[in-house]
Amino acid sequence: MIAKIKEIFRYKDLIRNLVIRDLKVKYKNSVLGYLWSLVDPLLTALLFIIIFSIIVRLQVENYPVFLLTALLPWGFFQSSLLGAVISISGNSNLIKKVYFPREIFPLSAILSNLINFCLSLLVFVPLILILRVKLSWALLWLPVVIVVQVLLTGGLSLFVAHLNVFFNDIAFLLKFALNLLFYATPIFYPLEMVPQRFLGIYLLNPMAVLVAIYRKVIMNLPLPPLRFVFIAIAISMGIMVGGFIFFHRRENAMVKRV
Amino acid sequence: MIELKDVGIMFRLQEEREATLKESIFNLIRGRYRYKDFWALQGVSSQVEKGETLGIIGENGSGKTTLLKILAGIYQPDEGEVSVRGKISALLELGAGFHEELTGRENIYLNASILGISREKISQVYHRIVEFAELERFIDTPLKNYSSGMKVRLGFAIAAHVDCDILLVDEVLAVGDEAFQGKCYEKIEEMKRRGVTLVFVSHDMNAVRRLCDRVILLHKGRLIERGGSRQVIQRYFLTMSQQRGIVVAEQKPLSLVFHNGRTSLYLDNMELTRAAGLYSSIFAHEIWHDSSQAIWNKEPSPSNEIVVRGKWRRLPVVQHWRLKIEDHRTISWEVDMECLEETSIKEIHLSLLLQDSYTRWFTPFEEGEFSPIDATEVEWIQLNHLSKVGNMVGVRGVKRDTLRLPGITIMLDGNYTSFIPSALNTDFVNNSRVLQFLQVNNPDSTIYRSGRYPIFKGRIIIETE
Repeated sequence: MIAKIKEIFRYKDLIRNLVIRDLKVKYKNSVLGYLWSLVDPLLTALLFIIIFSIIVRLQVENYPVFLLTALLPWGFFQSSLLGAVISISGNSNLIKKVYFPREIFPLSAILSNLINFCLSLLVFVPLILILRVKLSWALLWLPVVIVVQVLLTGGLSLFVAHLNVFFNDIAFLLKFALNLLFYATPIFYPLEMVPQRFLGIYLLNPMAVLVAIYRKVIMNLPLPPLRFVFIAIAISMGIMVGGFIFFHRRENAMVKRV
Repeated sequence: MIELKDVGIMFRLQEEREATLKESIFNLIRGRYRYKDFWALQGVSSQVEKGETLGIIGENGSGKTTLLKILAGIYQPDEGEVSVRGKISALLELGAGFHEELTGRENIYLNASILGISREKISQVYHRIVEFAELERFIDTPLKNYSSGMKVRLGFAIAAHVDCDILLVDEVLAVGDEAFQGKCYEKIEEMKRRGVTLVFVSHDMNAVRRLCDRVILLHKGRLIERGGSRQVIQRYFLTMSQQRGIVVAEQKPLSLVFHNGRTSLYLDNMELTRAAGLYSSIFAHEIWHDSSQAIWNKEPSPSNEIVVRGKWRRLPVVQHWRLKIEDHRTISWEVDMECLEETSIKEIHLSLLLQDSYTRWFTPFEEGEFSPIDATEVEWIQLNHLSKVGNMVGVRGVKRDTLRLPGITIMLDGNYTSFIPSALNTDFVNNSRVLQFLQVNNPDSTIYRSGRYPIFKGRIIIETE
């Protein structure tokens, strides 16, 4: 595994180029360029604000920031997976013609989305200042949460990217699963609204815990019980390692099939 | 450098190709999940030393490319062992991973990174790449505006400037214009001189002959012949003979291999012909139409005869060839032409392209040297005087320590005197000596009514000792 990681590192230029290519192609042909990547979460946020603070009247303090703290990480998670799932099958031509570590494709899909995510966080900071959320020292934990999310996303990406080579409806299934998971994650509603008796199962969803942590570090909202935080981290790491081993073991069969 | 030991690789072919999850689950439930195991390679052993050039030949689907992909690390073998020591550069497909939206410059960096080369290293050779590809003026243009030839040039230039110990080349030189092909071969030969090990897959037997020290022949995933290029290439043609378009006639020590309008001539295991070998061409509608562009069908014949019928693609013309090995030194060649409708034909020639080791030609009235063909020659050069014509033309045998080529003469049958014999040099790409019979029709009698005409009959005599 260490040898593999070293090898991947040797191809850092390729990863960088793929990421740049992704970003460039994404933004080159549109006037608003990078701004488009912000429009999407902002529009979604606006929609939810209209529905949940005007129509449904959820009692949440500072609802716009509350929404964005979840929507941005969720957008990162979702678009990474949707990008990664087709990253192997969509590059079959290259994979059959040149050798390099194939993990690079899902990896660079995640990285380009990560950059997008970080940039949108930067735009987000002034918004927080305008809306006067009290920041706390917990903010320093932000990079750590992001790393955990990258591990989780990375592991899942390796699984779905691999499986999509064999079953080309995995991409559709994934969209469906992400839709379900969206509602099983405290994005537009607060964690406290989840009934206590379901909480044990509910918090096994690592994204639910991660979103709660994002809210802790940005808005200083209460964390879920610590053991769930550790379970979420353990699950994320487990998925990463599992995904890596799975991908590596089945790599030859995958290349033959792609 | 490279060692292959009993290498085998298996692919699972599914009976229904489009597998969706739903189908697989249904099939699983019905217990009908069927695979067909297909061994693309089996029991292949070989080794290549440093600085050596290995050619891999075989018909389509024989496993050549798969073997190259195993060497490149793209596939892992299911059986046996592969060991490759040294840095590999592979040209499995030119410009794999090019991106249309990016400029030539950006694509150089992208492509190099796909090959695993660092940014600093590629910056050092960047100018040489652009210069080699002759793209100085277009390097900041997006690739989508490039012609396919330009993309090919860029792709080869990148792969060829990668610092490597082993170069794997798959058929890529078949594309691109001839001048650039020549440049590519030069570059490959320069790499060979630097001690780069080369593994070369091609259908172009001339290229294989020119580049390869040793050749292996694959057939249905198995290695069936190995050795020097001459011997393996002949075996290749013999194995291919079952396939469409290939007919073999054999009678020791001569053999003829007909392949889509070109015929190669062998004495024992030595090929006397080169490039198209024995072929024919028709001048009509202001261009030459070669027999190699016709669609050929084999007709039943004894083992020492080739009887074929070829329909020209852009002319309503069919030629019937009958090539017969009469005895150990004589081959007769008869050509009938059948016009399917009234056709205007200005010239017809029948030619025999020979090895460039031949040095002297002769006709009944004169004799001369073939001048050397240099790399700037793009025309075919007539050598004898057409005013003094007889009914034969030939080349003298060549004897050197390493090489013995027999003298060859073509004699025209007495009834077909409209053909003029001549000796020529080809251009540098074909790089061959030519014995030719040419018929030039009077401008006022170029029309052939529909019907079948016997047009040529001659004998090729090989002076075996």
